[in-house]
Amino acid sequence: MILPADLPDDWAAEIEAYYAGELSPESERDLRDRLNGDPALAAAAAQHEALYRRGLQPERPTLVERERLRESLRSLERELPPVAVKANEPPRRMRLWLAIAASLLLPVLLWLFLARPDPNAGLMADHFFWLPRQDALLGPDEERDGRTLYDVRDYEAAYPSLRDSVAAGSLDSVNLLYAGVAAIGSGHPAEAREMLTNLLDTGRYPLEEDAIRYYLALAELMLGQDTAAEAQLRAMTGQDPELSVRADRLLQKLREGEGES
Amino acid sequence: MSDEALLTALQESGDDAGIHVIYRKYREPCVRFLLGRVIPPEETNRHELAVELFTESLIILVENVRSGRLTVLTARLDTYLNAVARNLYRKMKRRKREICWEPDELPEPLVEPVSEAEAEEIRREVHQKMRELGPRCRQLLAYFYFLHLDWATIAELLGYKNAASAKTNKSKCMVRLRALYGVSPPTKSK
Repeated sequence: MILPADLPDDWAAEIEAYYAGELSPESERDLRDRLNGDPALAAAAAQHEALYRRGLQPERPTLVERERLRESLRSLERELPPVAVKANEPPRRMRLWLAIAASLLLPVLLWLFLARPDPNAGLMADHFFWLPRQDALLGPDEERDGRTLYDVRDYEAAYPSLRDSVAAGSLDSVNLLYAGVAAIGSGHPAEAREMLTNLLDTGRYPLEEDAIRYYLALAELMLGQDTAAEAQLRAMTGQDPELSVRADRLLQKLREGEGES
Repeated sequence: MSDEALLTALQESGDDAGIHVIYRKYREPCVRFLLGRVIPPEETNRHELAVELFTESLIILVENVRSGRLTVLTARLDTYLNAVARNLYRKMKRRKREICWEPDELPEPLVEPVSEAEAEEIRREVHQKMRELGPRCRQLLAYFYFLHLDWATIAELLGYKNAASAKTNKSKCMVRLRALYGVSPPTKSK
């Protein structure tokens, strides 16, 4: 009798790929044919399949408990006030910022328009936004430092503070992202580009890659490097839906600009 | 209460009190995170969806803590909640259908499945053997199979160089798990 242990490793790897959805239909057919042709190995494979079908699945009582817990949390949710969507969250925040920015920048933009302004200035005004910091808003006990300066959008003060804290090792390097945003927000694109490029090159923050590239694109635009900006936007992975929408809009604007020039 | 203390409370308490503490503590930042970074402005009922995603991510986290699959936090609790919720949202969009929080349907079996009793025995044994894996493998497999995190997130949480590296290590961990529960020795077919 062939034991489950007799299933060859590469067959087991094919089964693993099948349950990960990574086995092509042709390979699946081939695997099924081989298993059908060898009852002993098929028996071993059945035990192996059970690993994926049951072993790596929640136990059945969990599903009942899950529903009970879901109800318990929904009851709790009904007791709580709705999460206040403050003005610092994107949809409303963006509208508010655009309104404030428009009212404040109107005279400046008029002046720039009359003085043959940098064509990317308008793009920047439309596409720059405050990137919510993942650990922001956690409560009054949070240490006051460059991060909180960033949270209240004091970009001029936040950017050097964050940069220096990362350099000193008191803050994780991911904060270079917010330093970069703050540098752009306070009109220091070259510094932003340097910090964001360094951060991207570490490869340590794949989840933040799209955000890094988006702000790198804005920094490039401010520096008049439209081609480099486009390259950053095109290299975005699309894992962040909101940033993807923003990147698409910015690319569209850049293409329109190219068409006009 | 610190995240570690909350984790311990979840492990040791069977009631919902600790879960409610976590819910109250992280509901607002997680919902804000989802509204700000995950759910696009065009999505309908995005606020309700954000609350639901947070609830489901907390349930998944609780299940994994209570079952012993998640025993150590390598990041802040809200990092897990945000990552799980973000992945649930992505999964929901991939399915392109109504919200369904239950586990994905499994593909058709390749061969005649083992009996129900044998399958349940295997499930019990696998859960037991996962505890005998090293902490890194246990975390890696739990993050993938039970927290349903994507590879980029797993790489970030466990400090792998990139998603591909995390994935490669997962395959190695599966070999160890199979060896532990006796399914497959290191052999090669001809």
